[in-house]
Amino acid sequence: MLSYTLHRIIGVIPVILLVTMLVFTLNAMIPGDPGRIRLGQRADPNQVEAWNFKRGYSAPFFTQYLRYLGFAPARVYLDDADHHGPVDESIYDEVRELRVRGATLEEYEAFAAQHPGYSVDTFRDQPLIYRSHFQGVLQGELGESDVKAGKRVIEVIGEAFFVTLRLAFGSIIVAIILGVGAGILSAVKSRTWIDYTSMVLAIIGVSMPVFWLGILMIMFLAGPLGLPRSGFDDASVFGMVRSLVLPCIALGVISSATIARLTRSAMLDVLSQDYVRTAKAKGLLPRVVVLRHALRNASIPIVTVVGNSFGYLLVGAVLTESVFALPGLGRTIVESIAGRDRMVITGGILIMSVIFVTVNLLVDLSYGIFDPRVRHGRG
Amino acid sequence: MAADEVKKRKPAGRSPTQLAIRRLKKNRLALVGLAVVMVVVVLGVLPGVFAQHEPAMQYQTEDAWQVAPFQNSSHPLGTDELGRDVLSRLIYGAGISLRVGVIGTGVAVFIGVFLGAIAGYFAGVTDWVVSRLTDTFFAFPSLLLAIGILAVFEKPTETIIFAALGLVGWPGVARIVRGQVISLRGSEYVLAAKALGQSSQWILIRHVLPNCMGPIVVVSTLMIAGNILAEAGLSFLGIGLPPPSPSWGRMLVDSKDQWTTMPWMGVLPGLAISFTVLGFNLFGDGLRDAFDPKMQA
Amino acid sequence: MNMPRSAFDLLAKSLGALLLGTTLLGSLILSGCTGGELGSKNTPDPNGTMRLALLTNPPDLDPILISDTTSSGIASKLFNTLVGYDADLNLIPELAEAMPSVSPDGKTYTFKLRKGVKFHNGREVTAEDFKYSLERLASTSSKRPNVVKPIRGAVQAIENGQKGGDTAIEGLRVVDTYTLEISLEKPYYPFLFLLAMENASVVPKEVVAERGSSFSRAPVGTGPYRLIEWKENDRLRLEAFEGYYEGKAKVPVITMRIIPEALTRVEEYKAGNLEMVDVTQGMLPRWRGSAHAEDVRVYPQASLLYYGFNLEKEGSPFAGYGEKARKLRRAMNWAIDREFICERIVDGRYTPANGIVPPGLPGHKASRPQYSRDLVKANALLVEAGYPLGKGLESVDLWFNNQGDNAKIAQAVQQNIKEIGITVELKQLDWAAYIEACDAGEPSFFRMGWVADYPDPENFLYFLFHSSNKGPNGNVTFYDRPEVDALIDQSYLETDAEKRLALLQQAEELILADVPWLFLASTKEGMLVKPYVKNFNPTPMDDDSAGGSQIPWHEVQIVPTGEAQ
Repeated sequence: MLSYTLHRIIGVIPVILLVTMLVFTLNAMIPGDPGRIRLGQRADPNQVEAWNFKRGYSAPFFTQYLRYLGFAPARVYLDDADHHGPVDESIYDEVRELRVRGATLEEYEAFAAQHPGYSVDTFRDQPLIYRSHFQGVLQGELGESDVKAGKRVIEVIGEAFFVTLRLAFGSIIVAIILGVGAGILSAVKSRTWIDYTSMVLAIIGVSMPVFWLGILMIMFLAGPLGLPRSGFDDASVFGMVRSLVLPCIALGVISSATIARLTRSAMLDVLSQDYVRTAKAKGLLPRVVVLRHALRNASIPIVTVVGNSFGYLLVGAVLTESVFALPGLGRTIVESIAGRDRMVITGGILIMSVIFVTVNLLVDLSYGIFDPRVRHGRG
Repeated sequence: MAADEVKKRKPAGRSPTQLAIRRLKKNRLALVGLAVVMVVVVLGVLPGVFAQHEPAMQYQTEDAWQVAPFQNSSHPLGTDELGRDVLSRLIYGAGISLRVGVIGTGVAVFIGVFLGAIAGYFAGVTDWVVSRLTDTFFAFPSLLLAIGILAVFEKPTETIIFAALGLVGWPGVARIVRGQVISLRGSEYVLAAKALGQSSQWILIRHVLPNCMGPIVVVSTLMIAGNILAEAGLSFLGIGLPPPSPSWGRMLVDSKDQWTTMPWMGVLPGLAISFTVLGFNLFGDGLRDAFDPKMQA
Repeated sequence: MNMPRSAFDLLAKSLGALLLGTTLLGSLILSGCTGGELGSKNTPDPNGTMRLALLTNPPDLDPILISDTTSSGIASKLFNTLVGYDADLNLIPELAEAMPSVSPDGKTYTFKLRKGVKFHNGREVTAEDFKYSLERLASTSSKRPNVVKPIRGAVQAIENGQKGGDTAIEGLRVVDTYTLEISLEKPYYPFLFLLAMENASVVPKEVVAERGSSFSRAPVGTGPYRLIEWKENDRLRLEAFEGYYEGKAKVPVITMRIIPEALTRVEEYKAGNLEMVDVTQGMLPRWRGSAHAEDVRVYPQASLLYYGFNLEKEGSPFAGYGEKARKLRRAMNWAIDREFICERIVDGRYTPANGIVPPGLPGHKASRPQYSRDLVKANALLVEAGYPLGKGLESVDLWFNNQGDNAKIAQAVQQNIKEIGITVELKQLDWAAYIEACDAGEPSFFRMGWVADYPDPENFLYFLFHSSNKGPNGNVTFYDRPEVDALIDQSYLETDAEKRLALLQQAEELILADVPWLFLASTKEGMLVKPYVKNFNPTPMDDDSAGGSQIPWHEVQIVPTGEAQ
């Protein structure tokens, strides 16, 4: 079990690396010059170039990637007000003085001689280098937003992440309630119209475009139920729950169909087994049989589905968050793609993939706990 | 060759496929699904036979502009926000949904089967590498990946959207195929073929893959449903097919601001999507039950 | 349990049931949509809060970074400039005590500042602050160095900034605590308009120094409101500033929620959770016909919409100034049904354009006839151009960005042009990719708009047609006519307002004769505003983002009438 766990955890690392690699490749291919986007349409080309240089966008692709990961040193610039690291003010003032008065080459050379580690060109032409240091994913640094001045990526996606997590969690609860309910009903009333109806209803849920369902709910359900139509109220727990009810239902029904299917077949399986028949024969109430014995055995498929559908939930969240104006991660990333905020795109997708991989890992590992047979047969 | 002969001469009983079809025939919901699918296929293949109007034609006269269903006999389901015949657009849209679903799925199945088979059959390092690649595409939020791929292109044509959906959808197929191939790898007839000195390629194509067809068909059917929904989702985010394409997702999204004033536009394309997806889902579920009797009680 | 008699029978039964179910569901939704009177609640917030909706998260609130309408709509409530506009868009003093005195050579402006104006942190505003704020615009992190460019020594300061030096501008001189002198390189008529832009707002040096680039997230100004809370992608909260120089604003709190979906915004408005909301197609007629007709506000905007041709595009039959190309472009102009687009597709929110300078601005020529749909004329011109019935023309891509009503209008234009035999394919991009392509001159036929930075024809003619502005600065048709350049250049030196306008009008006529665009429409803004909101009077320089930018917000009031519905 331990070696299996380790094996699985190690397998996650290349996946995360490949995900960031993929995002980086896409970012490089998407049209839209980062400097021009930051500085605006009418910005001076020199200014754009300088900004790209400072942010490292003019570096070769692989250098950028390694810097992002924290395997290669990133450069931090003295005259960049956007940065958060320590700044050597003394050197900055001196070099600036040289530049402003238009010092001669000799003067620059003399100055460079006093400051080993820097080249003359650095002082003359390039934005001033303070020092190179490693600050990337490895060091827990996701960088700064390309578009929002003064916002670190972690700040942009941090809040959003927790909104999405709550949304996903709530949706899973909805999915389990609906799915398990429909599944049990179908199994108990197997091969009757009740069975068919509840299964069809479950599948109808998964067949509607989620944004369509969401908007219809805002138009017809929010008013009568007295629920908020949009937004995320985090002033109180009660408010938060209220503002998440509709989005969670819209999103939850997607996964409920799969849960319903699996619950139904697992239940049928269990209901036909000897010990349940025995229990029935002993005169136990059907409700007790269903709940106590059968449902417990149906829990493995539920865990499976929860794990598998987590990815769909994160994806569905993109659409749900837009419809219900929730400040979540999916919406943040979509807007960052439109606004070409490459650092937020990369950071956001990295976080999403990490959640996804983690949840799947936990689900995989939990099989071993639920069902001893799994522990060995896998590799 | 030899294996084929053996197969054909298999005595009595029925092949797994025949059994599956028998089971499928008994499944009411699956047949309903199949019927819906058939309707969409017929409309999608021959839209010109059923549609009375050009899908992009804007009727700007007073009696045809934004007219509600059942108000104008030449526009039985009314016209949309630009005066185009809704019924004709829905009919032409069937073809688009079908193409998005089928071709997108085709791309995914092609990549998935290819990589899945390689991983499963060759095992070892190949398996590890391909599996990590599969995991990566699994972990990457699929809709966002599709958006990212489409953002690279200036003009997302139908083909590009299909390809993007395919690039996003293949890991599911790859996993299933890999699992199947692993379980078949040690089977007697594969070992026999190996003993006869047949090449790996030949064994995979002739003996292993045909036996994975069941699960592939099931997952494809369900993926078609998913792709139709994904296309609608992309339209919602403003990156779907370019106008004046009568894709159902676009119809729904383009008229979205007017659902309060033109409610039929908020209802009809949505129902068209839901029905078609429902059809594919029911049929796919039916197929799954048919191919995997354990799942059925 | 009854066994199925035959598979077919069963199938028919199930399908029937499904269809019945759908019809029921459909009619339920339909009846819900259309059923009865439009319900809209007139319930102000009990605390008198003004609740607005934003379409997007504002990218930045630091004045030197503002280049979009959402941000400037918010910034105008947080900041002030030296001069501003009255309701008729005349320039009036804002933080200046009076309009500046201008030297006879037209190069030096002397501003006397209002005394006792306080920043939100309580410190008094001095001339030094204005000098600092304007010099910031020349720095590398500024998006709008153009605003200070006419000042003497500004070009040098901008270059200095790029080298890492400071951006002190020679032409800015602090005479005393309350006197600022600005000298220009040469006379520049629109200079005061530049000073009225949000970008030229005054900011406190000490706060900027302390907060660095996060000043944009937590700005401090002199405006009627202070920013209290900003949750990205979620909401902003503004509170009335006690020490505002014109008195504390009457509405104590403004909240702005970011709601990307138009339908969701409208539902919130109807539910009484928003005080105002933008409108989309179909809403205006419906609301006008309802009991809430008084909510509807439509006012003209100093902005326009056009479909441009890239005149320098190699190999495009639509490019160039030759007789053939001009006739082809004119033919297309006659094919467009502007009235239908303006009246039916956008419910009268657009007005057909008869030229470049939109109505509401000085220099607009109301008397000039506009193109209207005339297929006979269009076809005749096509024959003259050598393309009878569109023969000999390949299909052309019409590029547009995927926002608002763009797709609808593009499709109407596509059909109009198709009727004279020219095939148009639509090419839809997102804004970032689109603007980059247009700046690079990639599309030969594209949609574009222009929202006035300031209410003057020069803002349209110079940026959209002067050859020095080709590409990113606004001249995306790559229009290049020395005569037009000369007239515009001459207008800067002309100090007489009448003569200046005449020069600009002359330039406009020359441009019109070259037909660089499909002239489409100038736009109007449509909004729904709750009847209990008073003193909210947008000007043509306002749009619906964040409740406009030129409205004197300290005067806006919420007066509950007591009637609740």
